[in-house]
Amino acid sequence: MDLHFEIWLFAVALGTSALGGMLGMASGIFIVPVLTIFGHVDIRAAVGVSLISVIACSCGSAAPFLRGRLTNVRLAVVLEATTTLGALSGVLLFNIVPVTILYLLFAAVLFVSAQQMLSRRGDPVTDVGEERAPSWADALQLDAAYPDQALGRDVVYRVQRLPLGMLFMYGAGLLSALLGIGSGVLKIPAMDTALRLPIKISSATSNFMISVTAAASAGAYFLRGNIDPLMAGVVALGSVVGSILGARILLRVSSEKLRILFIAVLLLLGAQMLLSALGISIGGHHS
Amino acid sequence: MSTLPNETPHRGLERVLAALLHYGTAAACVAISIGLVMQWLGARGQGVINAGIAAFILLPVLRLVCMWIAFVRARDFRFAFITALVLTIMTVACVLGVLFSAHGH
Repeated sequence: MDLHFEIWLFAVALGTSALGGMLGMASGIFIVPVLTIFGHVDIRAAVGVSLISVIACSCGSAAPFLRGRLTNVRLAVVLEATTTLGALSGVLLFNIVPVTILYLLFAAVLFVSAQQMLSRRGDPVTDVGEERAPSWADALQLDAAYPDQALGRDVVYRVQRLPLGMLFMYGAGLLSALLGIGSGVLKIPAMDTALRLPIKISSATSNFMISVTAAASAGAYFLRGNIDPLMAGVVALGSVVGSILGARILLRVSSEKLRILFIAVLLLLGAQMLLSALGISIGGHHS
Repeated sequence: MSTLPNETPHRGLERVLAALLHYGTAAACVAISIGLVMQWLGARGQGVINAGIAAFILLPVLRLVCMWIAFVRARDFRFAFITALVLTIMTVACVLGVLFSAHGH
């Protein structure tokens, strides 16, 4: 690997995670497509590199959320039980699943992410005082409160439909291990539709969980020698620096324009991943 | 009238985890940077970079260990068990992953 490629890698990681940080979105989803399409890196090698950067970004950005009491630590560990099980399944499937399927799966994730970005997320409306049947979430005392700056008081929230949320999280763990992503694509429906959490709690808690999920597969890939340390190191550094910068310039750019840019990039990368999948299945040769 | 949930059950733990993840990320980044500079200067920095990558992979494990200790000290054995379960699944994923690839290739 020459110096030019390293600088290019660093710049790409920095740029994508700075942009991602501005929209509160993990940049892990960009690393594998960029590495495979423009860097001609093997997709499985790219997944390993991406996982390290996903861990780095998750750990690097966790502190302010924890101090701001936005992370639900208890809920996170309960959901991690199924994300890590998903990751375990992914680790076992990783070398079996054909490269074509990995590309197709990745294209699908990019398209669904674009669609999710198009439809805005809103805080689910829940009546805290409302009576409901006893559930797992009650038994585990997962409900909590967070300080709301705008309202100037603590807002109490409830965790709903935990089993459904855990099922989604299993899928998120599986996708994370196979594709090297944080799996926001499945975590968003899990957090919004199933658990019905306020967005601030959902972002902080899923960001907190990603490092554990990614480490569950990265450990095996690293020991197998599937992770190129030089590439992973450069990308992880770039991502951490980028996410710090992204958080700083959060308010200076119109987020509406950024959103449209992001959707366009997601669709373009998705189309290219689809072509890569078809190219491989028709041509029968790996790049 | 439903009872309000426990407002701040883990304030101390949240601060410890924030510090662990913040300084852990910084340490791993410093190690990787040193390794990369060594490589560029022609020295063998591979080992130092590897240590930085390993630190990133171990950081979430350390985070779970901290949580386990906090739950045990709070006598919250149900959550200590769940945390231990997550650590076990991670270990199994690692061991099976390595064994499986040895047979697969």
